[in-house]
Amino acid sequence: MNRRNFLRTGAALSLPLIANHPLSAHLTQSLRAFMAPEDDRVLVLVQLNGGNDGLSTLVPLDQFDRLMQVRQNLMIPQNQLLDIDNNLAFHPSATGMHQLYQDGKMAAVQGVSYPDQNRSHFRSTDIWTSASAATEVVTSGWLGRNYEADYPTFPAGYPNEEHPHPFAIALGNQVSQTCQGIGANYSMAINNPFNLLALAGGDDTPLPQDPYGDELGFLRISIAQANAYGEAVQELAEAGQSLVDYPDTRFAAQLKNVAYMISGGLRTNVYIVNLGGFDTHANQAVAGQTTTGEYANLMQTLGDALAAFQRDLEAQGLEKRVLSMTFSEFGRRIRSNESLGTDHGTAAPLFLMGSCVNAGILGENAEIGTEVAANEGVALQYDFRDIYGTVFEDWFGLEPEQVRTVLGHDYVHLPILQGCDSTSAREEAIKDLQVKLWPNPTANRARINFDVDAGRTELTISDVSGRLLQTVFSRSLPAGSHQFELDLTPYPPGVYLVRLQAGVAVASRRLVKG
Amino acid sequence: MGKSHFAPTLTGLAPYTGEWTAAQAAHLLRRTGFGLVPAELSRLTAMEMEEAVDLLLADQPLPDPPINYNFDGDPNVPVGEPWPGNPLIAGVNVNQYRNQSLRAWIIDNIRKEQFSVRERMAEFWANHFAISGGGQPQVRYEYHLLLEEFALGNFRELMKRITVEKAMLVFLNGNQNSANSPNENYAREVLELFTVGKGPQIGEGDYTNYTEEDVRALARALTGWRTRNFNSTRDGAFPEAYFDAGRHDQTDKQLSYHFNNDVITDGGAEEYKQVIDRIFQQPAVARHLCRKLYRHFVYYKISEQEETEIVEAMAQILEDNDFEIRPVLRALFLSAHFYDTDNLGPMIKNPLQLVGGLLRTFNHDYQIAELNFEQERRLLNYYYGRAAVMDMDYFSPPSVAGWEAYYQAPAFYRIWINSSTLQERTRFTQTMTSRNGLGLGDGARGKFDYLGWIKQIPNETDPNDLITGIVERLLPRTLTDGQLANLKEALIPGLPDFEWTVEYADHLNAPDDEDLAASVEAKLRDLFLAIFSLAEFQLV
Repeated sequence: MNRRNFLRTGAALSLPLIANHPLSAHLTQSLRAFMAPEDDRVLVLVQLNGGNDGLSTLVPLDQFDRLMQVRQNLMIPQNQLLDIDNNLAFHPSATGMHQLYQDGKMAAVQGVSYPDQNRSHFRSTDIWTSASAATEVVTSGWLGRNYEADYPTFPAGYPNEEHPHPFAIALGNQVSQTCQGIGANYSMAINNPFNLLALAGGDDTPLPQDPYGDELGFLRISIAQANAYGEAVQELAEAGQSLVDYPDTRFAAQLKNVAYMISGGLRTNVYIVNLGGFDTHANQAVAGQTTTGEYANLMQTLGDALAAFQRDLEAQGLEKRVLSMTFSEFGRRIRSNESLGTDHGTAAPLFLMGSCVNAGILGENAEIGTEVAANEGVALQYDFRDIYGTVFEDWFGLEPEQVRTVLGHDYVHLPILQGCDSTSAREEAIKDLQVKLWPNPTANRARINFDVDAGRTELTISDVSGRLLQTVFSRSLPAGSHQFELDLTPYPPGVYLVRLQAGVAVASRRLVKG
Repeated sequence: MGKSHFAPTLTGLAPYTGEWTAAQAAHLLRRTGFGLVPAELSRLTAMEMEEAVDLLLADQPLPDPPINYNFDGDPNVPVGEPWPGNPLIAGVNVNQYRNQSLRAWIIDNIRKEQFSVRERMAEFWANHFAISGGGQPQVRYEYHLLLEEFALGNFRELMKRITVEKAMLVFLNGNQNSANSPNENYAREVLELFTVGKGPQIGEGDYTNYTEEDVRALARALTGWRTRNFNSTRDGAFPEAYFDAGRHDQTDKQLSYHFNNDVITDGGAEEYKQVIDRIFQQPAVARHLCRKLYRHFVYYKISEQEETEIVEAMAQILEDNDFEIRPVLRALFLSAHFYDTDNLGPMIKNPLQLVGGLLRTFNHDYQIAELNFEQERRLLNYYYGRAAVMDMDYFSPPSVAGWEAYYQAPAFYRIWINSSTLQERTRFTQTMTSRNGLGLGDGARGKFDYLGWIKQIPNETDPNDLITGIVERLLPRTLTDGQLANLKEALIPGLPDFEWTVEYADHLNAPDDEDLAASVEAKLRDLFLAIFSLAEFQLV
């Protein structure tokens, strides 16, 4: 097993370093050179609708006793969890995900969300699909803007000889917001690639310059494209194959169809599949039988299908071309509710799967306090936009400058992908920030001390529901040890989350104001 | 047709003073109802505009309750009889037939509607107060009956009824909201979606129209409501909501500065009314609702000028009339803005408008008398199912925010259209123009009577008048000469005009000649399919 770990707590601190690699430089080096040509690469986005309870997907065993105090009605006996390393364990029904992890085909990033958490499904989904900050409204999608930069005239003139296939395909009846450009959406919705119908287009008469003309023009282009793309999609799906059995679920059928389309030679490079039901306010588990219930079913459905998809890609020799990535609008709260469920929270783990991931865990286990506030969520560690930026850079081969333009802001390159062709494991480690925070609890003021390599460093304070209260600083620091004062005077007594990020190194700590 | 009378600039909700012709009457009918029945158009065109609008807004008796179409295992409900109010039966699955019946009921209400905006308003509320599922069929029926009852009623009273309605209590966890463990789910949606609406975030937990503090205060004011007997088969144990004073938070609830820092004091079982009355004093409530009414009846794009002149005027009327919906719609449907050229035809039909529109335009009345109950159910459920595969499953909107086409910028209505749903729209019209129509079991076929239908078109013996007559009734605007010529090519390919006149006259002279009728009808099916296939047909 050549799995790499990036966990910095406990025993992981002893992770060997390779002395001749300056860490931050090494980790931000682009991995493009190791991989297949960009044209051939496929990203499969797995949207988990409703807000995934990450603490149930991947349980931090070192926090098990404290979790028992605040979500006992959901907790699964420790001996039934599926252990991995780093004091983590998968839900017992997530056997497929556990297998992917054990096989070195999965990277999990802990505590993924964004600063200033919004807990509305719609708003937070918009933030995730647009890659906007929580404080701005952006109506285009993160992938759509990239397509728009390359193909600004779309949909007029598409498909064409150079681009005969849809850029992106959303499985189901709806196009994906992630692929929304300023005007057009770059994804094509396909429910069943084996059953597509040719549509009559109507006539190409001049369009009046008014709303009626606008909508009519939109309809005509949609019809023409559905026909042109549909023919290619169906032909290539029929030329494709699938070599393994998939579970009999709607979700697995979506991934199976993706396998057919990739294997048939479709040059689409983004597929979006989705699994709903994660908004588990109630009946997440069955009372007294916590290994069963809605969440267990979700984990079984998700894991089994993802594992089958990976086996299928491997059986067909396609595994180096495909990267899969989950996302969900938010995590859920640490405390469970009285209805055997959990309410809208903050961060959760994000999973990347495939043969080119830098397998292992990035990020610390969530810190569960002795006093957990009613609305407390799992603290943010990694901004999802850093993951998007890394995928653009490492997977789709964009220059960092292009990535910043498309994202609309800066990002930190994360060590989540590696070259498929590299035969030896690349040993890497992340700077341990050596965070000390005292006094904790405090009356008003506290001190924080930490070590950084030279580079951009950011220190923020949020409340337990993820709202950003204060950016203490965000600037370049020289290498070495630093100390700052945190002032909680303006805030009422309670728990606060202090987050420090220095390049890829992140630490999030609870600070109690007494 | 009177286009020169349209005012070039907006003047608020100033009344329309142009000519009242078939074009205006057709626009009014298509936007306020599902599709257009030719006889309705003739009658409305002949009226004064005000008379026509008042007719569409008149009170209507509530729809007949849904019936048991096909299940012979319910001891209390014979086939053909309504099931609401009858108990669940231990060991017998009555939910299945009732759920099917409920889907048929929604479609049948549309089918039977004449000269009324009620079903489109019931649809509006089903989107505004969107719930998915909502428990067993009796519970869901009562919820949707409430929306029918209040279709043109008082928004504030409806808000109160919804708040303690059992389907909503379950859907947004209001039934789990107690003093010891408040559940904010429903309270949050009341503010974010149902009343004042969520504005831009202007401070920590402050969304312009309310704050997180208000969500918590409202949740506490609504504590104590419970539901029971949802699945009980005990005699007389019907699903119901009730107030449990022991779970109610009796302490004061402090609202934020948006609500003038008002305090809600304990009102027990009546407290929900007090707090809703307080929320409805906020100017944002009427504006939020009227923006949604505008998107439902006019167009999705709302310019700044339309916001300040039209939406604002509608909101003022809503407030002046104590939240009665009817006066707002009356002013809108009488306004110059509603009939402005810019608003004629740019609405992409939602799936229910598409299937319900064809159903009503080509009513199956002539067939239904001959169908048995099970065949009738299949026919109605087919329409429901077609709208569902086009992404509008009426009883399962995608979220509590309703259908994305009514809130998701920038695409709005365009969200209904993509390669997959376009195919489903086409499959539907192909089925309804196919020789065999739709299989309903035991050899019965659901079909439109195109031959009978065209008799309503003036001078239908002339192919040009026939085609323009159909286009005027089925499409929002006229077509170009080239498009009309293409349609004629579908009707009489490569033949001179008089051949239609002659063949059609032969059929009229010998209506019992089935072979001749079938050939003439085949040509009509080709024509209608060509019309349904036009991109223009997706617009209203």
